[in-house]
Amino acid sequence: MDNNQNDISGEDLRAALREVKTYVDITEEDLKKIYEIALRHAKERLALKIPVKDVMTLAVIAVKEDSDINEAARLLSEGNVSGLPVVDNENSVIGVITEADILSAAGMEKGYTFKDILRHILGEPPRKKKKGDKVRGIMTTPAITTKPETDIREAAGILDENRIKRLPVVDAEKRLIGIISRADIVRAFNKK
Amino acid sequence: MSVREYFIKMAGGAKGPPGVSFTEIIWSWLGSAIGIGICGYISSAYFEPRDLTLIIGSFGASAVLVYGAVRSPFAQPRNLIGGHVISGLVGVASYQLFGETIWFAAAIGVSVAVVAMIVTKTLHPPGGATALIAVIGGEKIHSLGFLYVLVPAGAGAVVLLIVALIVNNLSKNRKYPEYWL
Repeated sequence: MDNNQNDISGEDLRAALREVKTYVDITEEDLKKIYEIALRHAKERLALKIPVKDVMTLAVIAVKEDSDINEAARLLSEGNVSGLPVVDNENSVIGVITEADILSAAGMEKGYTFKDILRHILGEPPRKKKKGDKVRGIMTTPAITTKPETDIREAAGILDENRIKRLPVVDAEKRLIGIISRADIVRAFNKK
Repeated sequence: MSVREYFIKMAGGAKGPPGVSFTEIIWSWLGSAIGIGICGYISSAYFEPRDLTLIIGSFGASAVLVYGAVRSPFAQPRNLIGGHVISGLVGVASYQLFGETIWFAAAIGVSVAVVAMIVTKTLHPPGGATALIAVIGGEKIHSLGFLYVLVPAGAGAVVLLIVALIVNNLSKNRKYPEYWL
């Protein structure tokens, strides 16, 4: 058997058996065997765990809450992504804006034609500026986020349950540090 | 496996578990004394005058488990009750089928009881004795027929269980049962 810090001594086991106080019908040998098998299973389980921080995209594009919708649309098309995290001045994630948000906001505005929406998406100035043309007004809140230490299996579950495509990754102070997409998770499993 | 490896297995090598404290020993004694005492008293006061009995030899072994090794899976209610009832059933059936050759009925009774207990997850070592007693227990036991499964096997086990629940849980270090089913 390899000697490492996880090795448990006979004295440890005797101490544990004494601590239980009542009679336990197991020998030290068997207890050790069970302990070692359980430890091996735990190690295997932990080895399979992939934290979000190992596979997330670090160079994340975000949009400020007070940005213009046009700006958000431009970032979406330039970044070739379908959604962006929305951050406040402290870089805290406060929402998410997607193509769908922009389309529905544009579609709901009376007086806009399909042509206008296309113009919008193409980045041309809209026919007329309206109130509430800020990202803040149309973003989806609250943002569903995840932590860097979360196992990607759990992240996959969140994506699936909420029918979303990406999760902003935030630190303890809710500040944006990355983003994890379905593609990132698929890639991680493929590598494994 | 070589011959050498085969014999090396017989050398053992593992250490036995450590002993227990004096209070543990006292609780084990108290539980067994009350459990077997009550079983025996009820039996002689109410059952034996009616040509019945509430106490059989295998309960001595059950007492070891339910009052002396309370954490053991063998000592849990499912095993205690299930083991005696299932083994009693197998024992009586074996006697009725093969009773003309006692040694054969005994072997089949005990072996099938062991298998039945393992299959039903009710393994309780004294159950083997319950099955054996059904076969070799003499005329008085044989005349009970399948009633043996309920009285004494099942009912006696219930008395031991009730005493175990009351007495074991009075001890600071004990908790009984670990699980019911």
